Amino acid sequence: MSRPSILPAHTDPGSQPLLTTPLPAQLRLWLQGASCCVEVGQRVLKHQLLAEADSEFGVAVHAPTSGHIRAIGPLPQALPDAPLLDGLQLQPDGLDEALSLPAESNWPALSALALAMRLQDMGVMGQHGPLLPLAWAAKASPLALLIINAVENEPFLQADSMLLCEQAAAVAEAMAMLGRILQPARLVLAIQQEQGAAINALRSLAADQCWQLEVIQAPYPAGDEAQLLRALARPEESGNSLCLPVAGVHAAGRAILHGEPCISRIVTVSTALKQSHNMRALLGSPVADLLTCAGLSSQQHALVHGGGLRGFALPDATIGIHQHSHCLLVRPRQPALTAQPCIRCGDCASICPSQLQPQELYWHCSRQELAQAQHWRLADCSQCGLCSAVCPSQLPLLDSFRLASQQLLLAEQQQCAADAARQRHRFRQFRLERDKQEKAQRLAERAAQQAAKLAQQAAEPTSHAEPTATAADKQAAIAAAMARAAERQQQRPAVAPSVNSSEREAAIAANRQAAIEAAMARAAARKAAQEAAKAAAADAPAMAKDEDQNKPGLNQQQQALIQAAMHRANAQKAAASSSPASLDQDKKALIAAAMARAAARKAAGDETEQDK
Amino acid sequence: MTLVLRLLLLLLAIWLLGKVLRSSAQKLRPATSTLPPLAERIDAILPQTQCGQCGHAGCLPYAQALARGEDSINRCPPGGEDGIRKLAALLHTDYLPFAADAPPQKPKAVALIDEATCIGCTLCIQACPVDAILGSAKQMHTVLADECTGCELCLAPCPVDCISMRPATSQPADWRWGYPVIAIKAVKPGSSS
Repeated sequence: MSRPSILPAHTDPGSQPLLTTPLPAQLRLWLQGASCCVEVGQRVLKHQLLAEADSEFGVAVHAPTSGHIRAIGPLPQALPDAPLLDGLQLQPDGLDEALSLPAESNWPALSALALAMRLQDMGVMGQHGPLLPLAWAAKASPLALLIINAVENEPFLQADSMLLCEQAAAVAEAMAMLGRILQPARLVLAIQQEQGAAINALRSLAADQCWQLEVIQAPYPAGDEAQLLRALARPEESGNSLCLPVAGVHAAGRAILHGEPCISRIVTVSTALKQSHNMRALLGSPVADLLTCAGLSSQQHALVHGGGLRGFALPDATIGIHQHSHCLLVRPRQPALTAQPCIRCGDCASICPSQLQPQELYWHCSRQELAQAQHWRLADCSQCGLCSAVCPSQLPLLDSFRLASQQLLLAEQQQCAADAARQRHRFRQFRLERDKQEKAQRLAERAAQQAAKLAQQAAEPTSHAEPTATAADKQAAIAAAMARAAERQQQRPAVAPSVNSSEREAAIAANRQAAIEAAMARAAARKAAQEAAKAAAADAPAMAKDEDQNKPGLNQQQQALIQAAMHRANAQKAAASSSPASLDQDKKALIAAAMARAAARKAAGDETEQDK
Repeated sequence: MTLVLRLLLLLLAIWLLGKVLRSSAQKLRPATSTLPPLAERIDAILPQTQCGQCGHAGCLPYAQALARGEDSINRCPPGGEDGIRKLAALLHTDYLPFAADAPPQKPKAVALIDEATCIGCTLCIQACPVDAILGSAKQMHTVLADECTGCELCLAPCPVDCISMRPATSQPADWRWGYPVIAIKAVKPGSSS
């Protein structure tokens, strides 16, 4: 590897003993992804369950020692600028009384899912959430490659090496257990070449086991899951492999084989240039206690949580350690370095393990151009922090990439939420439209039924007109009356000239009688009938008037005819006077025609007389 | 003669080159028929709060108005300036600052029903555009916080004013890395050479 050797050489912990921190005055445990099942003031024993996992990604919390629960409430998190997180404070009573938990006697019979859930209940944590992801375990697909990751993933870190040196047999036991239950085709313990003492401890154990030891020679970010898979997995195995941290595997062995929940972890407390101390600390121990144990004071030093390259400053030394606190870096306080403009030296690009162009990425990330940053493969950044470490201008490269990656993730989540909201909104609109249509259909059906009933009942009252009719009969009677009135109005103009007054009056009287009979039952019916009767009564005088005017009308016709005849006679006279020798035959014919017309007129007059 | 021949050959070459360029341009241009309609693409950018602050009945009507060119792109406060930039890029227009009469931008919030005060009138359920309120007549209502878009449409119809908006970013899981701070060294005037 031709990378510049900016990183300190790995120092083997072999010569130093594993310290054990004294019992702290107070333990602070977070309840992320877990729901508390104890109360304030309650006395709890060591290993007692304090909180149960309430989500797929949470693990249970157990009491690291016996004592009293002093408070349950928001505590500061070991993250920069993070909001308070619910946690509990346990005050140890120094007795360290343990609850004896039974070991899993029948562990070879466990399935992968049962093992994953058991580990979740025992508080064994992996990289993200429980050691064995529940979603993966539920799929129960055969595993091709299981990698136990013992490669230190920070330059100053020694916690995993220390664990292997001290507990090599226990780790081998746990690996055999996992190999027995998960049945991977290949089980590999990955370790770095520099971890000489740990390799020596394992070599003797690896001889007749189901797992093999793989010594990695790659430099720093070799401890990352993706890098390990790239280095160790064969092409056919790459899609079906799992990578577990060795600390978690050791804790799993203790939990399943000995019934001890995970209540402590090994932490490296390192001063960058001097020596580092490894100590086994109870989860929840304040950081200040660990520093005291290592002979350092938190007042004079700046604290970095999680290693020199990827770590972040801890604002407060009272924060308790958690399952991911593998390293505490103590540095002398120094003024913050000032960032200079990028000078395009290209150091970051040459050291980047993912072959990215960090200076281009930084340019786009600092200008919030996330689309461009994506184009420069921000997603491939493993956030190892090497670019920040080598940058001569002290640019905050890693911080920018972390922020931009998180913003991209956030944008993705927002897009998912927007898509879900759109779907819900469209379904709501569809539902409202469907409800409206169904209601309209119901109403139409009801109206059709009503109309059918009406038509049926309209036919009934005409066949038998009963004086005591039902409501439907009354309606039918009204309809019948209205129909009769309409019929009468239609008939009137055609019939009027030829209808005798006595007949008409008789008809009107009969109609009225019928209307009165039909309307006797109900007020509405009566009203309608009255209206009809009124209409009929109003018609009657009008018809009588017509009758009176008929006679003068006839006279006028006769007069007109007479006048026409006189005109014709005058014309004949004029013709006769203009031609005195007119044709007698013509005259005779004209007289005959006039007489015929007169006869016809008389006949017509007689007919009208008779009609009247 | 040779000159004329050369000119003819040159013209032929130019014509051929033009043909090739035109056909390749047609091939390279994204087929407009395969893209979804413009209103759908605009709707995909809008934040889907369905809040109606743009003056339309929802995000899709606003997207349709934008596609018809009847409204301006700076009327969506929940989309933020980022949303305006995306719309401008899609519609090939210039970035516009927020309209003066548009409501101000607010941080994302979710509705919370004070369950002791709720009388179960179902008015908020009818107002919610994404069916994020659960309840029935004369029963207590509650908001599904994961589904709430923070549109505030349920606030107005409530007869007892029992709905309030709470910020949505107070969960521990909502923690984000802070913006990288770059220390700046004060330079005294005159000291720089």
